[in-house]
Amino acid sequence: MSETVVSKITSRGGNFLLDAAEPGQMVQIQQFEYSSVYEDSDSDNKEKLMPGGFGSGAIKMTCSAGNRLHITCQMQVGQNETWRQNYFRVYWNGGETPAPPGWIIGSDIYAGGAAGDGAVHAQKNAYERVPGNLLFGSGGANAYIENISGGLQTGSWSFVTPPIINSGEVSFIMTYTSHNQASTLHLNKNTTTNSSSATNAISCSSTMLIKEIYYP
Amino acid sequence: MSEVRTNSILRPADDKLLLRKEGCVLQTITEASYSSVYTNTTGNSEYDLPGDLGNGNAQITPIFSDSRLLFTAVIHCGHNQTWRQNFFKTYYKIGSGNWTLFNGGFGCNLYNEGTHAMGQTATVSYLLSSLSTTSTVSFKITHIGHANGGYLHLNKNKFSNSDSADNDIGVASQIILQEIGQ
Repeated sequence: MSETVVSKITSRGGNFLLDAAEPGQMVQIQQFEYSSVYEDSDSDNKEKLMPGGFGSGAIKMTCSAGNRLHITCQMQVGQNETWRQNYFRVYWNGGETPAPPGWIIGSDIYAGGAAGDGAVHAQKNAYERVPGNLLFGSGGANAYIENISGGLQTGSWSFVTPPIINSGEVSFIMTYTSHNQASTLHLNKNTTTNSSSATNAISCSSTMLIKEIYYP
Repeated sequence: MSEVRTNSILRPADDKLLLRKEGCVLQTITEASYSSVYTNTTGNSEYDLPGDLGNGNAQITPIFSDSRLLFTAVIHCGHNQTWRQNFFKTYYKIGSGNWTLFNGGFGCNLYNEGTHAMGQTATVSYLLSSLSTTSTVSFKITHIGHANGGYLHLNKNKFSNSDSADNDIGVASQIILQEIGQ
């Protein structure tokens, strides 16, 4: 059988119409965002679900088995009066529900577990993790101004997942927790004045940018 | 002449992609770069960043109207003596239209009491999905400093406790624009 090797097909005008999908290339990109101000003063030693789609399980993407996901998280961490230290965890199901045995994080983050419904998790109490999801790709950010309010730090981090197990819908969920001496999250909160009002003065949003990377 | 139009071609055995348009990076523009040290002591007042970061020269012309544009900003913030809180707002405009604020804003917070020359790199990426245009799209970043401590020391960094306006490590603040096929 004859074979034609090409790297791209172009239109008569020279614009790219179709590009070769080769290993390591991006085949889709989606962004999920939350731009409202969300504050919680009770997040020390507690792992809680993020607001909006980040915490509801609404972040879903239809992907192909074997491909990987390059995920970039950007969390907008505000502060009031002193310092804040917030941490975020990202969970996904790998394309399989429930997630495969051995990948589930249970009551002991170090030993793993069966259901993810333990009462204590890495010294975090009363967490709200959804069972059957995998732990992957955590990050954190801090902001500090003594006696002044309204500051903001943009924390960003990226990671690449293992291969997707099954073709179809891959779902994500994100949680947050705070340093036990600074228990408050001020997501997307910022003011250019010394104010503690729940304002997003610069119109920022916390986002999760997901790129599907091709591994045929 | 016959013409075939499609968004992807799959191989027969397992439906894996051979050719596709969606997700393809059609172009990457990194012309908006600024490496000088820029200091502005204005507080609580919005102004354009210097050079191509703020003058609208950061531009991309989409090949397809249904493409998505991925905006990435890398901003290097410096610091003198106490705390600095820098806020950045992001705008685009299509052709000669008006500037439109989008949710790509970000912040940089630095605090070191009594010592100069801390540095923090703030990066943000934001996907614009529905511009629906093949006209040139321009981008700019503006800055607002916190009213109580919002001096901007763009690209300033030192290895020693000095407030001199130096860029010892050679940073460049940038806007990177990419067109992603849909």
